[in-house]
Amino acid sequence: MKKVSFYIIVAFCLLVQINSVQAQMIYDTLYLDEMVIKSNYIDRNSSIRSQLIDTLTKKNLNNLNLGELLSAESPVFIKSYGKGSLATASFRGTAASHTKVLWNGFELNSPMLGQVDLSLIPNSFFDEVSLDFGGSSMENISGALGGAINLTSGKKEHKNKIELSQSIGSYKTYTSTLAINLRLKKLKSSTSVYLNSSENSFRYYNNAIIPAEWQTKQNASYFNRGFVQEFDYKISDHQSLSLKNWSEWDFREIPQIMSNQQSGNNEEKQNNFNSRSILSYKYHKSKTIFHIDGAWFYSNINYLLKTTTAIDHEDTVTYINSTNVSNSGFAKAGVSHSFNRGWKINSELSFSKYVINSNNYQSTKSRDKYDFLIKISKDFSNIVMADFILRQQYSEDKFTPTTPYLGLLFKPFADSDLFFRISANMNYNLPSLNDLYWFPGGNSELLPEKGVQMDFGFNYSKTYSESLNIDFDINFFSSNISNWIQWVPSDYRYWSARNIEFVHARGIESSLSLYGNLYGLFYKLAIQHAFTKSTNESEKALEGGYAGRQLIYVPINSGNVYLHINYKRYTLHWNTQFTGKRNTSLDESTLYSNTLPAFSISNISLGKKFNIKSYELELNFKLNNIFNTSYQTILWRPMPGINFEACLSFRI
Amino acid sequence: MFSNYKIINYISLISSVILLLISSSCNKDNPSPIEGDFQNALFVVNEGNFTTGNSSLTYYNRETEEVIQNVFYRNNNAPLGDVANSIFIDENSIYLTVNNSHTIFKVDKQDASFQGKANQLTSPRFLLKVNDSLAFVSDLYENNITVLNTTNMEIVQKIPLGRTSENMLKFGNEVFITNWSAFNQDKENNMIMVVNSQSMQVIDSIEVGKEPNSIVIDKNNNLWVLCSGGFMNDEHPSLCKINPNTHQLLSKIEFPDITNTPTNLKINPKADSLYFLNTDVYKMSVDALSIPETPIIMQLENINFYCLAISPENEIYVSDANDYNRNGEVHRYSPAGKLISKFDAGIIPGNMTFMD
Repeated sequence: MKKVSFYIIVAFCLLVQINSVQAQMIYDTLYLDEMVIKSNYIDRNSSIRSQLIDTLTKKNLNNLNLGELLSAESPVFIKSYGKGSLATASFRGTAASHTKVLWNGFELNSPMLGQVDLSLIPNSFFDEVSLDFGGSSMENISGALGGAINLTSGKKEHKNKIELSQSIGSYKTYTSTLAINLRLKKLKSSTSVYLNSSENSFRYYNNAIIPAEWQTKQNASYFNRGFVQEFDYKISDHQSLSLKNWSEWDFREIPQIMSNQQSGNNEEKQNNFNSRSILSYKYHKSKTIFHIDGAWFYSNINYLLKTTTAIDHEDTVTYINSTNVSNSGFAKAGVSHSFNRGWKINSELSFSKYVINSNNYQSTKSRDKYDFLIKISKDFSNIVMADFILRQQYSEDKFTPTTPYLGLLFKPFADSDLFFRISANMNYNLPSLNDLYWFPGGNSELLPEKGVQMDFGFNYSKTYSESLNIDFDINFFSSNISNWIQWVPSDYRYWSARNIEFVHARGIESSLSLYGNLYGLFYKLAIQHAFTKSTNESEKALEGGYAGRQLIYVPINSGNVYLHINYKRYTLHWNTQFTGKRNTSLDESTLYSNTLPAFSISNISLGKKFNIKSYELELNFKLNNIFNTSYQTILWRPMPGINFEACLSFRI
Repeated sequence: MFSNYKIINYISLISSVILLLISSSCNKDNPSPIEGDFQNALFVVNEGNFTTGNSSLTYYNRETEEVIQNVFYRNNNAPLGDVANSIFIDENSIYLTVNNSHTIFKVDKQDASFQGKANQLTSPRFLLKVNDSLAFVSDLYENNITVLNTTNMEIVQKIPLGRTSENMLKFGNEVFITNWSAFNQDKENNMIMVVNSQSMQVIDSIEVGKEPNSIVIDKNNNLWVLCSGGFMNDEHPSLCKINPNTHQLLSKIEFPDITNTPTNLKINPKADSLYFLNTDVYKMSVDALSIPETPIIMQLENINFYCLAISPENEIYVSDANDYNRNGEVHRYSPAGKLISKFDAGIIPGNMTFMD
């Protein structure tokens, strides 16, 4: 019977996969060669659906950025303008501003744009990344109508350690990372430094010009430098204090699209400086946790566009030099307590203040925001777990309506790891400050975007033997977002932000992973798939005849597969990511510019560890896009073909 | 308990999924080339979205009402580019000015196949042939007119204008050039610059209203210039009448509402009636002394009139840019302003030109 059920599950997964699906999950901790592996983990003590990105794969992509990690290993679609260029997330068929990214609990989304550039977040700066799907994000933040991405640092094992790694890749790409962990009695220090530069001058076949020809990518270089410094001080057995700072300087050139490649009279670049600091105090005693935190995030983004006449490169015709400075201050305090009989209450109050200086606003603009959370959880005899969340926001002198979340987790059979989840919630996303105040076109009358969401799914795991473990997760979701903000042409000559769209996003997320130890060989095979249907059902769309058509740049199917093998000191990692076709226009016709074709990209890496006395060396070779697939994630933005990386790491 | 043999079987089963994913083909929809021979043509230049590279060219047969989309892409296997702005047709070729691709394509008049291109241009807007082999190219940013040899598509010279340039009209040996954009110039954008097409020199300038955007010539050999009044509605829009021989401003008729932004001044084949867009479509006799109060065609709800053209049959064609994101349409009206038919175009259908 067990075999039969196993066959059914595998067959179902394959079927779903072939039709293009996806999922995620995970939950296991394996100890291998002093390496802690946290696999796709779904908390089985809660209805909250949170996926931890496998640390195996995160480690393998540590010299890359968050956008590249998520597109390889998660169901979130990453809209990338090219390597080193802007990358934003589309979570569950929503817009970039509907994905909130948190660093140790504080929001990284730009208060101006409402979104995060994932290409500017180095993977080496955080230890764990987890995804909260849809309403599950309400435990940590308001307004994440698609979901939230949590970046957590400070979870490194705290023995003294120095790790230096240097990678060299195609197109003059160099990445150096340094991590130093030190412990001095009650004080722990963790330092992470990141240097990354690339000329990014890959060759591609430009078929957007006549005659088509092989060209070298121009004006696409980037240079990122940054560090994260963390201090943790253990005041007593119950109290701790931590201070974190993340400072980063980023430079990038912004290349033109393929059809505009033939007159090099554009100089377009961006310089960013971000500094983010968090001070936290935590009190933890028996069943009570109390924390109080303060944070200050500073961001300075400079955009420069300079064009000259085509024949005289000294004769400037366009010059835009735009500087946007934002200061965000946060303060929050929270307490959680576990009571008898399975009750747990968690409450948090936070205050955020944003101040923006931009030459695109008519004056300095600011926003004060208060957010109150209460979460009540109850465990009914290990058979049913219930979570109830209420959130209340106050901003722009108004209360947004109170948003509830109710989730249930069932474990119907005491002797089987089969869990059913069901949840429903409401959520409100405040307009970004650009939506409100950009000049011209910002609309200070905008309402928050409202999401009503439902989730249903189940999770099954089984250990058949040491050599075979299986995890399977499938989830169905439906999300209605009203008052979706869209910039539309106004009666004047500029565009203006309005609450006009109504989007229905629904889909299936599935994942399957198999792992185990075979004669000293550890393997893990994981498949994830997302089927996402996201359509505009507003009156405007109905009148315009495009209701029911998939939103632009949201693939209906996307997924990935990876195989990780560890044998003695050798590591092999294979990854294939698949992205279905994407509409680039709301029109049905399949003209060349209206749909981008599906593509799949495969990467392979091979590593070996060496020990020299007490030092450890690790050498890794990686081949990316091994089938040299020609593809675009954004229309007429080329991506690199086959390319390599070599990485040498040194540990003490 | 599963045996290792079975486990390996499962792994190979799953691996087949990987192969399936890898082998997923990436076919692009490449529409078949079209048979050429454009008859009774109306060409519509679809601008597409800025920095998106989705411009296109639509062909419409005024007699059979046949419509072919993406004419350029289908016969050249390459996109038209980024923000195609205008089209000009001479005896043998069609010239397509693609603003943000900094390019002008020269294509065959019969099947739109590629004949040549000029791509060392800054921000080209319109092309106007001034003799058998030379053309003037106006520019949104550059303070020069570019003279192009249309035989080999090479740049012959630059004529310093001191201003940016937009629409052009040739009368005798003189070319009258509107200075629409204030971008990259410290002077007011309220001039018509006169260039002699033989000496290639600026010979005069005529002050008109602010933001002159389009220019036509009537049956009395008077020039008409439509001025939209400035980006921030700095002054009342106006319609200026100029004597092209003396370069004198004969009259300036102001629009009563300062918030209006009239564009697209056109003239009928008899050259006795002016047409322009001011949200709605207006028709005005060249003898009229004031702006008409009622339009000949009302812009209905959910319609976004964008460009205007009057056919050799005196019919009125108005493009509807929709919401600027989706494909637009072109509406065809009788000379009296009655809707005859509509046909689909590309994203932001703009400049339109006729060819028989």
